[in-house]
Amino acid sequence: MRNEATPLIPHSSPLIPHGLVWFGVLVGALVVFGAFVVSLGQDPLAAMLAIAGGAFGTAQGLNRTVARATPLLLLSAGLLVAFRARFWNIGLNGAMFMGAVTASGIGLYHPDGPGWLILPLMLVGAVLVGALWALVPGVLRVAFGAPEIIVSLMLNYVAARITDFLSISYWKDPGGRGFPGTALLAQDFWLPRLGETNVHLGLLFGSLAMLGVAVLLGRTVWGLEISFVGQSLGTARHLGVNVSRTILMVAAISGGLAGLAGASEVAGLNHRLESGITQDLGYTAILVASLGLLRPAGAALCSFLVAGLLVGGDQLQIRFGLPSALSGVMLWALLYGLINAQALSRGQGGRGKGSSVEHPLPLSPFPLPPPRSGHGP
Amino acid sequence: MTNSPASLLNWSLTPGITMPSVSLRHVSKRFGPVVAIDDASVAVAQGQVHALLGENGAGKTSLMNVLAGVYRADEGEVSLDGQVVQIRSPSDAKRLGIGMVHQEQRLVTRFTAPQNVALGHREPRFLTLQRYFRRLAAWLSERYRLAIDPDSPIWTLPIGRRQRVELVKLLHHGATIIILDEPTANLAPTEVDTFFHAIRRLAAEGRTVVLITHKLDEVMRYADCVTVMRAGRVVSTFGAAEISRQELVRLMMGELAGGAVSAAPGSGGAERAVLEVSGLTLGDLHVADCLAGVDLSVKGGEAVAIAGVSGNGQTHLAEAITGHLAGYSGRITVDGHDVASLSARRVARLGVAYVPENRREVGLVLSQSVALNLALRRYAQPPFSRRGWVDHGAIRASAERLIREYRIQTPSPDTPVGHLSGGSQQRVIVARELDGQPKLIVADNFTRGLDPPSTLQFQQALFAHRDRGAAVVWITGEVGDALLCDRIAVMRRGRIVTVLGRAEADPERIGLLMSGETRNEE
Repeated sequence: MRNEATPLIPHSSPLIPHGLVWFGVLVGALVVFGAFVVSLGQDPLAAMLAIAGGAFGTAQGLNRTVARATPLLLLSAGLLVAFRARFWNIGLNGAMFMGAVTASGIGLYHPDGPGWLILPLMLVGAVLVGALWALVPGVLRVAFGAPEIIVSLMLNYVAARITDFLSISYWKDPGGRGFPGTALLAQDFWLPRLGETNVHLGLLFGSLAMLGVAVLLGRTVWGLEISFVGQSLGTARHLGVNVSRTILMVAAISGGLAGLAGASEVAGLNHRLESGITQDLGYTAILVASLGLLRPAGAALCSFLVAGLLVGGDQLQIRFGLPSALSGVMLWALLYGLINAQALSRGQGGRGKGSSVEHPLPLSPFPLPPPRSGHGP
Repeated sequence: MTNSPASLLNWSLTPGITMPSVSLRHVSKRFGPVVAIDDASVAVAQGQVHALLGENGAGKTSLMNVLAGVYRADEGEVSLDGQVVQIRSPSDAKRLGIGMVHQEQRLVTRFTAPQNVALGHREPRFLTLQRYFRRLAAWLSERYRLAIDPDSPIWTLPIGRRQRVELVKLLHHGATIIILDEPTANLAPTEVDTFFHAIRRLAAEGRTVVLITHKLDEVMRYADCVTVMRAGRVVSTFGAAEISRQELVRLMMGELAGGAVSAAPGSGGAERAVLEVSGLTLGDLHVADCLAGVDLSVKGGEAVAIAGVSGNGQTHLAEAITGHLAGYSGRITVDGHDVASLSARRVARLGVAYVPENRREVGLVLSQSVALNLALRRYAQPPFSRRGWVDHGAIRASAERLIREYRIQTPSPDTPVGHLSGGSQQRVIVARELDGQPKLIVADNFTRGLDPPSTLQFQQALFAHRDRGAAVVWITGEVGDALLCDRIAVMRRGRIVTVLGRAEADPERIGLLMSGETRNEE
């Protein structure tokens, strides 16, 4: 309990500085990962170096890493906006599927259309459908108070099944034998690539989206209102912020960017719709946004790091005969550590009931028990 | 008759059985920087109705929450019947026979009364609950005149009846020390008498009753003893017969610190009214916290106090004036503009400053910087933003000025405001609202919780605005504050009971009017 006679401003913030949290969590995740590798009889340090080398050390690895980071940029940019308003949209994977479906549908039904018209239509259509998809949990939340976590999460499965259904039925590639996917789109509808690489125009969209989100959150009145809604609903209402409209807007933005991510995967990388086209990146983006501490620069950096981890994980299998899923262990150990660090930093400080200093940035959507009242250290 | 409720419950306590008398010694409780209870000691004798009297926020409920195991005291000890006891949780308290009827009821609203009573209780194990409860209900209404409807779910009952269920539940659980937190707040006047009949009867049977209240009338009529609390401290304890109402008012409201701000009477009068309220009506007129035809007119350069015990409609009045409340009948104009058609933000743009009472919840965004919080009311207007673009430089510059001017203790303008002390946070809000050139200032208990120097400073700032020509509405429960204003409107049960000029007001009269002692006034 703080002494009443001391200055009332605590010198050390009751929250662990973010950088320190991050570093601690990273070390923890590396240790966990290393323990797994050791238990499988391999050298953990060599495994880590192999991942880094596989992701960033070779031209081909770098190529794949950047391609993988592209949708993560778009997805996490949208998540930043939604999470800042504490609208826990877990449904990006679904919105991404729907964006991919929309883009490929438009492409498939106008195979002879001019590229300059159809390609933009595919992208815009994907943004709109993604936004509408995310507005479902948004509207249900605003109108009935339905928890968006559940609604958006469940819709992910709906979207995945829609994609599966279309890619094995109406839109199935006649020449694709058993493969669940559509035929390739006409080449006019492909996003331009950088030379011979897999890096396509989607990277520009992602960078612009992240930049736009940074400006929106940091420089505009509207960004302020988003954070008021997220951080103090009572105050936001008192100030006359239209809370419902804000929630609907952040839902639409996050869904729209996820839709664009789906379209850019279709038009930029795969050139067809196929089952599982999102590779669950909609969930990975939650990790990316959280690891980036809900800051645009952090999320941008983490998009590339996490993409590198996913790509470099293949090296574990190739070089050490380890399951490539081990890189997933590292990813989710990171998230797990981060959530716990957040819980710890909330619980500490000896602040009793009535103190509601929220974490400046909510790191994760996972509901945490409130700090024990009254009896701090 | 082995199955009669009376025998099952052993309710008729034989007078010979010693009941624990309660004693709290040197109890303190802090919530972060806020001191809720400051070294309070109370002793309650068995078989008595002991009133705990004080204003809202005086620490009455917190002190009793310590006894009921809801809070753990930072310091001090509780003893029952001379034995020091450790009460760590509500179930400890229940085991010791302590039960509390909280202001907000803790019943399962989908359950019926008997189901609620049975919750958390083992007996009776083998009887059909409904049949048992019917007998209990009949017996209760006969013995205590506390009739209970055994069949309706709780949510269909009026609040007063729910409270009754809660009381019966406590008794059923074997409570011998009963704490009632503002039990009559939701009762109609006719129900009050019935209720206290039951309470007196319980006390006569040897139970100990603690009655938390701010109503003098209840104390004088129904209590044996009264302990006055103010600002977390116990002022004193008296027998109810040996103290006058006037004396209680004085003790409850505190020393009249009127001399602090020697506000000269305002020069107003010549100017037209800035605020006009006529026939403002809102809510259920049987509830104290309604508005029942309020008329009020405040001119520029005039300070009007709305004096009243908290919870008599003042806060709704403030919210209606500032555009935070809709759905009232009557008319409010600020500077000639009808407020009903305007959003809160538009009203603020008319030049209305508002320090809300529940400022902790609605006044700050705790995780944002001090600077942003100092700009919160006007963040969407120039100079803080233009065309939707925020100018962080302007926000910071203005914050640096306000921090200097109002001596806000913060390491930097960028510190999250949640890291400041409670008092400093309040200074942030008040500084923000009193800054600039507001035409009308609505201040709802705006110095509550501030230390004396800050109080003085902000009162001076308020009156400086009045002298500049602003209209001031100061909602306060402190008689001393009210006496600083040019006119004093006493508000009770949603009505402006009397409006007194400063010259004709004396503290005692205002105190009596506030607490509802009519004395030929109505």
